[in-house]
Amino acid sequence: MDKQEKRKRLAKKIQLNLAMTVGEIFDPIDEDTTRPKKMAYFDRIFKTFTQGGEGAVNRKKTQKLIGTYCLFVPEEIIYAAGGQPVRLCAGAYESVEVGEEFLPDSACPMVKSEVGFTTLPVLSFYQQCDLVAIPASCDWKAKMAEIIHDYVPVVMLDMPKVKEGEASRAFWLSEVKRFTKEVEKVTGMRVTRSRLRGAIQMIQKAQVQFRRFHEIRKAEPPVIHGRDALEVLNAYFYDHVESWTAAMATLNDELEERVNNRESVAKPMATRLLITGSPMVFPNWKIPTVIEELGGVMVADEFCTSNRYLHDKVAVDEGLLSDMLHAIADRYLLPSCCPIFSTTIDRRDRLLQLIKDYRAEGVIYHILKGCHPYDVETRIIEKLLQDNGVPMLKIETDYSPQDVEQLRTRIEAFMETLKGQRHKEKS
Amino acid sequence: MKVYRLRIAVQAISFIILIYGGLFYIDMGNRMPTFSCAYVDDRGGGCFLIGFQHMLSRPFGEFLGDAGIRLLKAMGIFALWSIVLNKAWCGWICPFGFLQDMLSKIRSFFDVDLSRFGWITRTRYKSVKYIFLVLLILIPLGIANSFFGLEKIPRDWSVPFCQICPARVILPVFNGDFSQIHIDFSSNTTMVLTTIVMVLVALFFTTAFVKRRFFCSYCPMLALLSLFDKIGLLSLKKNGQRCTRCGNCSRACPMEIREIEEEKVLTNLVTQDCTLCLRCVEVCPEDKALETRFCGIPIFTASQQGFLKRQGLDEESHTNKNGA
Amino acid sequence: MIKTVISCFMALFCLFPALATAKAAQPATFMWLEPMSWDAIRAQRAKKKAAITKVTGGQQEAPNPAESYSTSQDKGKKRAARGARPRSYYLHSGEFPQPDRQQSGRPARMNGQYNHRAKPKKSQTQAILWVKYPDNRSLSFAPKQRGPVSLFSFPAGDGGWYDLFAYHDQGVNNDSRIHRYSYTHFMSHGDSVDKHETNGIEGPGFFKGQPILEIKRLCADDHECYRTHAGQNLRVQVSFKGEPLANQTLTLITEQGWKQSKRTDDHGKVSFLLIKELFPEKIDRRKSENYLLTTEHVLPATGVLNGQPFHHEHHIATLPLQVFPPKSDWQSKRMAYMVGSGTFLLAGGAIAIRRKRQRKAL
Repeated sequence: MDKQEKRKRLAKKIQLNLAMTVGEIFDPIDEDTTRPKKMAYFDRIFKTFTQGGEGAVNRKKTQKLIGTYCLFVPEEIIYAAGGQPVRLCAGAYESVEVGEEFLPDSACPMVKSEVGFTTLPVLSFYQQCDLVAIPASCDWKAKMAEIIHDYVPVVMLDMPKVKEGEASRAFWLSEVKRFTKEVEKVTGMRVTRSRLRGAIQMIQKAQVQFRRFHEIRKAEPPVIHGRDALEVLNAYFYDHVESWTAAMATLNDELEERVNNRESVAKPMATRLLITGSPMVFPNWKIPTVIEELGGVMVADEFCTSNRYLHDKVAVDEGLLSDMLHAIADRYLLPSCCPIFSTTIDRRDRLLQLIKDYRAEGVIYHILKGCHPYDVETRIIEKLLQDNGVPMLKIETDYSPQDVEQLRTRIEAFMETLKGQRHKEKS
Repeated sequence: MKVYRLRIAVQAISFIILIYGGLFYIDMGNRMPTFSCAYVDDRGGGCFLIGFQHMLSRPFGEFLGDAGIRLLKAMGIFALWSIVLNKAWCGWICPFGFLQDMLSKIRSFFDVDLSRFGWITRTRYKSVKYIFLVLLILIPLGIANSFFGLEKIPRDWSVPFCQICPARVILPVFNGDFSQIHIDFSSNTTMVLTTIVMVLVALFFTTAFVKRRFFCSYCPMLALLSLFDKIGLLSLKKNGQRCTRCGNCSRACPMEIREIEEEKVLTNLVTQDCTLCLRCVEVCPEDKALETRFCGIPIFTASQQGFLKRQGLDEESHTNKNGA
Repeated sequence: MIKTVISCFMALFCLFPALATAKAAQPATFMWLEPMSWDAIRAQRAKKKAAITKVTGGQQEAPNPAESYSTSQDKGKKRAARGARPRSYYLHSGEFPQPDRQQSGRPARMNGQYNHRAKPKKSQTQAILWVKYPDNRSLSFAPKQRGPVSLFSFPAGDGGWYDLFAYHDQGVNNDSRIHRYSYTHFMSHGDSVDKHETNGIEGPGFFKGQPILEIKRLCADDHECYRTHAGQNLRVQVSFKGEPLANQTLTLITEQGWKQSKRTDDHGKVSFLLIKELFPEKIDRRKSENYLLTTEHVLPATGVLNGQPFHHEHHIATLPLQVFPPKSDWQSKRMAYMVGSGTFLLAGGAIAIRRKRQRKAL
C-alpha cells in the first residue's frame, strides 16, 4: 500500500517536471513570430504532455491502440487491421531515473525513458496500449519486452542483422506475417486486400506531403528550422495519419508561400548544418535549440524519427495481399540505414546525398550515451566525411539538461570554424 | 506516364501484327529476334531461331561459300534488329511474353499468390537458356556433319529447339490451328521430343499461375539477345548513389533480377535476363535513380512524383512541384 | 509341209489378235514430274565432293549454283540462282506405276534413288520445264538425261510457292498427235520476296500464259498443299484453254496399281479421297508414296507433222502427288491432350499441396 502510494507520488512529481520542461520549450517558441503559423497544430499535440498526454493520440474510442518502437513496425498493417499506431520512442529526461530501476547505467537514455513511461502512469497512452510491438533492433530493445511485459501486452519482432541475405529477408517477411496475425487478434479485424491497399495509400499520401516538405527544406534561404522539422515528424508518432497529412498540406502551403516571398527563419549566410546519429525525440531538443540560438540552421537530419521515418515507400506491384505484405516487409527492412545492420553502405550514400541536396556545410554526429550501434559507426562516417571534405563534430550526450552550456561552446566553436572555412573558400 | 498501360498496348498491337499480320499483308522478314512463331500461318514476321537452325544444318565446307554468306546476312539482320531495340523485343514485342503477362493478370485477378525462385535456384536456372542455345547450334551442325568421327545425328532432330518450344504449340492456336498439339510416334526421337513439348506446354500454363515469365528464363532467344546488352541503343542506367536499395525494383521484376537492386557501382543494368519491361523504373521512388535511355537520350526516368502517380495517387501529385 | 503351214497360220492367227489389241488399246504413256528426294541429293553431293577431293585433294569449294549460270545470257536465271541450292525433278515417261518398281514392291527406289542401270527409255529431250517463281517470274529449263529418266535442275532460293509446268510435244503416233503435260508445286522456306508482274508463259503447249490442258490443285491454305497425306481430300479443277472442262474423266492411280476414275462437274471440279496405300509396317513419316492423277482430252484435228498425218489431238495431263502416311497413323492428338492435361494437373496439384503445407507451417 505504501509502495503504491510512493509510486503515485513519484508519477505526480515526474508529471510536474515534464510539464515544466514542455513549458520551458514552448514559451520561447510561442513568442517567436517568424515561425510558420500552421505549426500550432503540431504544438498542440506536445502541449498535451503537460496534462498526462490525454488527447495527444488522435483516435476513436473503439480503435485499438498499438504501440510501436523504432521504425520497423509496419504501420500499414496496423491501420489495415483497424488499429491506431503510436510510436512510443521517448525523449524525456524526467522518466529516465524511473527506467534506471530496471536497466543498467550503461543503457541508453531513450530506452530508460521508455521503460520509465511504461512502468509509471505519467503519459496515459503508454499504458493504454492494447499491444506493444518491439522490434529486436538493438540490444536494449531486445531485452525490453521482458522488462515491460508485466505492464503492457507485448509482441517482439525479431530483426535480421544482415539484410542482404535471402534467408534474412524471408525471415523478416515471416515476422511481418506473424505480426499481422497478432494485430488481427487484438483488433478483431482481418487484414484484407482492399483494407491493406487503402492503408498503404493513406501512408503514401502522407509521404507525398513528407517529400514535399523536404523539397521545401532544400530552399535557400531556409524557411523552417530544423527543430520544427523534428517536431512535425515527431507529431506523426501520435497523430492519425490522415489528420497529420491534412495538417502537413496546410503547413506546406504556408511554407511554399514563404519560399515565394523569400521569408527566412535565419540570418542570411547562416551556417547550414546536418545532424545525424541517435534519434532526438521530444522533449530532447537540446542541440537543435542551441544551433538555432547560435544563428545556425539545421537544414537536414538523418534520424529514424524524422527524415528517414517516412522516406521509403511501399510499391504495390500486383495488389495481392501476399505481394503487398512482401512489399511492406521489404520497405521496412531493406532501405533502412539503422546502424544495427551489418553494412553502412546505404547510410553512407544517403548521408552524402543529403549533404549534396541540402548543401550542408558541416555535420553534427549525435550519440546518446549507451547507444552502441551509432557509436560503432562513428569512425566509418568520420572517415567518409573526411574523404569528402565535410567537417564533422561528434557530440556524445544524454537527456540531462546539465551539459547544454558545454554543448553551446562546442557547437559555437564548430560553427566558427565552418565560417572560417567558408571565408577561406571565398578568398 | 503510366508505362505499364503503354506497354500492354504496344504488346497487344505487336501480338496482332505478329500473329495476324499476314492477313493484312504485313511481312517483317524471317529474322526477328522475338517469338513470332514460323508455325503460325498468318504471321507478320518470322522467328530468327527456326531459320538459324535450318541454316546451320550444313556440312562445314558449305559455310565457306554461299551458305556462309547467307548465314552472316541473317545474323546481321538479327543483330541490327537487336541493337536498335535491345531487350525490348522481349518485354514489349514478344507475343509469347505478352501471353505470359496476360496469364499473370488472370492469376492476380484470381488472387493466386506469386512464387519466387530461391536465389541459388535462380542463379543456376540462368544457365539453362545457354544450354538450350548451345544445343540448338550443335545439333543442327551434327545433323550435317560428324563430330570426331561420330555418327551423324538423325534427321528427326532437325530444328531441335522448335520441336520442344511451347510457343510452336500455343501460338498457332490463336490462328485457329490446333494441328501442332500432337505426339509424333513416327520415331523414338520425335516421340520423346513431342512429349517434352506437351509437358512444357502444360508447365507453361501451370507456372503461369504461380510465376511471372517462367518461360523467358530458359528462352535461348534471350541468351542470343543478351549478346547485344551493352551496345544496344536502348539502355537501362542506374545511379547507384541515389539508390536506397529498397528492393522495390527487384521485387517487381518479372525476371527476379537482383542485380538491379544490389548494384551500386555499375551503371548499365541491362543484365542477361533483363527484358527491358521497365517495371523497375516504374516502381522506383527515388529521383533519377533509374533511367532508360535511347541513344543516350533519357526517355523514361524514375521519379518520386511518377512513382506516386503510378501507385494511384493522381490528385496529390500536382502539389509536388519539384518532382521530375 | 502342210503341217508346218497350218501351224504357221495357227501361230499367225493366234498372234494376230494380240497384235491387233496392242494397236487398238495402247497403254497410256504418261509423263510426270517427281522431286528428287533430299537423300538422293545428298548422296549425289557426297559423290561429287568425293570426286573433287580425289582430283584436287579437297582444296576446291563446293560449286556455287550461281556460277553455273554465269555464262547464261538469262539474267533472271542468274538472279534466281543467287544464294540458292538447286532443286531437282525427275521427268518420267511411260506407264504408271512403273513396271520395274511394281515387280519388287519398293526396292527400285531404295534411298530415293533410281536404279540407273535399268533399261533406258525413250529420251525426253524435247520436253521443257517452266518454273513460276514466288516473285511471279517464269523461267524455262531444259532437261539432262540421267539413265532412264530426264532430270531438271533449277535454282530455288527465295521462299514461297513454286509452280512447275512440264510440257512435251510427243509428235504423231498412230494417227494422233500427242501433247503431254505435268504440273506440280512446292513451297520453299526462305526469305519471302517482292512480287513482280507475271510474265505469262508463252510457248508451245501454252495458251494465254496457261497450259492448254491444266489440272489445277485447289488449296484452301498452305497446309493443305504443303504436304499431302493419305486420308486427305484431293480437290482439283480441270481447264482447257482457260475454260473449265466439264464431264472430263480423271483417273487417280497409286503406286500399287489401284485406280479410281471420276468425272468433273460443271465447273470442271472434282475431288478424290486419297486412300491409304501400302506403307511399310514401321512408319517413316518422311517416306512418301507416288500417286498420279491423270486425264486425257481428245479432240478431232487433222494435220500433218513431220510428214506424218494425224486425225486426233491427244492432250494428256498428269498431276503427280507425293502422298505421305496419314497423320493419324503416326501422331496422336489424344495422347498429346492426355500428356498435357496430366502434367498440368500433376504440377498444379503439387504446387497447391506445397503451398497448403507452407501456409500451415506458418
